Amino acid sequence: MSLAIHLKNISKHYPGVRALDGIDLKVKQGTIHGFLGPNGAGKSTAMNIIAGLIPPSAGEVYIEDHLCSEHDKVAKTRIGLLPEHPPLYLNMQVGDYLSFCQEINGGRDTGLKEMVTKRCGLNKMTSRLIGNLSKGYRQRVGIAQALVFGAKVIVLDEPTVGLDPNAIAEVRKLILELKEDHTILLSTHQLHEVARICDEITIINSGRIIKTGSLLEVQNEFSAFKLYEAGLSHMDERIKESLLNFSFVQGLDVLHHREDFLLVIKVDGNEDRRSELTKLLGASGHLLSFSEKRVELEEIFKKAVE
Amino acid sequence: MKSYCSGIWILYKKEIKDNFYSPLVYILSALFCVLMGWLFFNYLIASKELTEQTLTQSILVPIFGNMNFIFLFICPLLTMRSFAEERKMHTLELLLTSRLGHFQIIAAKLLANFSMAAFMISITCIFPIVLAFSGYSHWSLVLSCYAGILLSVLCYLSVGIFASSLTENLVISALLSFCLLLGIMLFSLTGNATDNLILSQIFQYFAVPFHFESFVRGGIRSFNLVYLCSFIGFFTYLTGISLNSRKW
Repeated sequence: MSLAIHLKNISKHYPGVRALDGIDLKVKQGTIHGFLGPNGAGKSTAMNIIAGLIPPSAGEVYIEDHLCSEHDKVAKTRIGLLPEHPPLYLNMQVGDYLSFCQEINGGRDTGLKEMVTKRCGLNKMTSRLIGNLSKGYRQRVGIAQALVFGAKVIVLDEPTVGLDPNAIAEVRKLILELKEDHTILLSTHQLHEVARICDEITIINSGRIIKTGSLLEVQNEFSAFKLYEAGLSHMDERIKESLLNFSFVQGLDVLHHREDFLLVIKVDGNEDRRSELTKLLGASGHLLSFSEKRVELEEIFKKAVE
Repeated sequence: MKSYCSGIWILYKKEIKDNFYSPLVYILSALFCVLMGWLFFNYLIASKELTEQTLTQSILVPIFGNMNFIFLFICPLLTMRSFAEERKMHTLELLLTSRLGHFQIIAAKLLANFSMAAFMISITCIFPIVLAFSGYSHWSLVLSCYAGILLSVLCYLSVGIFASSLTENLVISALLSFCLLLGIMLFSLTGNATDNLILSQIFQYFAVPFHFESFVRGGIRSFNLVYLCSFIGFFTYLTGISLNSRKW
């Protein structure tokens, strides 16, 4: 799969501060790539470098195989940026604002503008003043301005910050729809959002990339334990003891559910222990179900940035 | 070149629209009209007693001198929003990530503010018409005065835009611009304070009013034009550096 964004050994130094320290980032075309990290990790700096707002101190940025330092204007037309604070002129009407965004990027395609307006759910809002819109709609206008000149790579810096749950769901739906024909780099602190919509994630801390890859790969690397859930028709002390006899079993929770029991087994390390556990529980003759429970991304994030 | 100018035109149109939607320009225009009308009326009345002076000396020279001084206060108020508000509303990112270059952005803003100032100055065209009824016919001097005031205002606006690019606070932007303009004005006073003729002339040369005076007296020299154009170019360049400093 070809790359939509490729950062090669990017560094950014401010006097006394090393914001980015030789990062390499590859974002595949047609994917939603989550960019995670604590505050001050360097996410916004990296995103601003990708969007061409600030130049890197060292390294190269490629947007769809175009080296940004050589094809600055070409790269600019391929990248749509929604910064943390949407760049909106509150005294402009939505339609006029989107036309203006198109024009300053060298285009005037009314068909594309109408399509983007419809896609972002703004077709009934074109004659409304941006200042009179709710925060959710302003965010939609912000996303529309990133799309309206035909950019195929969209950089969204915390698009759901400060929105109510309904607006978050709408923005999430919009991002998923955009995936059909765009590549999206998404920075957010809403980890459950990342788990729901991202194909790949990158964790950054103190200007360095900690891990990049699919969610499963990152989970496998950083989860210090695994959780398994077993449904049993009968539970006694003997089963409990034999489970705890395994050196890798860290903990055991027994939940009573109607007539049955639900065991949550916490297993140390990343090794697959399904065969040992199902063998033991199966031998008891009471095993109804067995599955691996996914470790929350929040746990992985904490572990990764420690 | 065509696409370069069309970039300036797109932003210029938006800026002009913004300015005319703002009540500030109408308030400033009204105050300017009242002040200039009152001054013109007074000079006109006083000119009856100054029988030894021509209408140029008794009305035209002082009225344009005052107009130039009043714009020292108006220009910072006109330009304070230019970049300060863009920074405050985070819309500067939109312009900087677009295909517009820094010079296109600065030129569009400078031209939009200049149009506002020209709109205000155009109201004073009634003064020469009134003078024409008294038999005044020195039209080339009137044109020279208007050219001088327009160039002088363009200088003030370039300083104002530079000040606006340094901060996101409108009040600080206006104050900074006013202080810079006053400082430049004071060059001519500093020139008067010294006995050294060369030093005095150098100081005078650096003050905008010194060059403006040549226009009002009808004795435009090439160095006046060179100075005023260099002044505008210098502050436009500084604004460019200020915008680039976001990238440091």
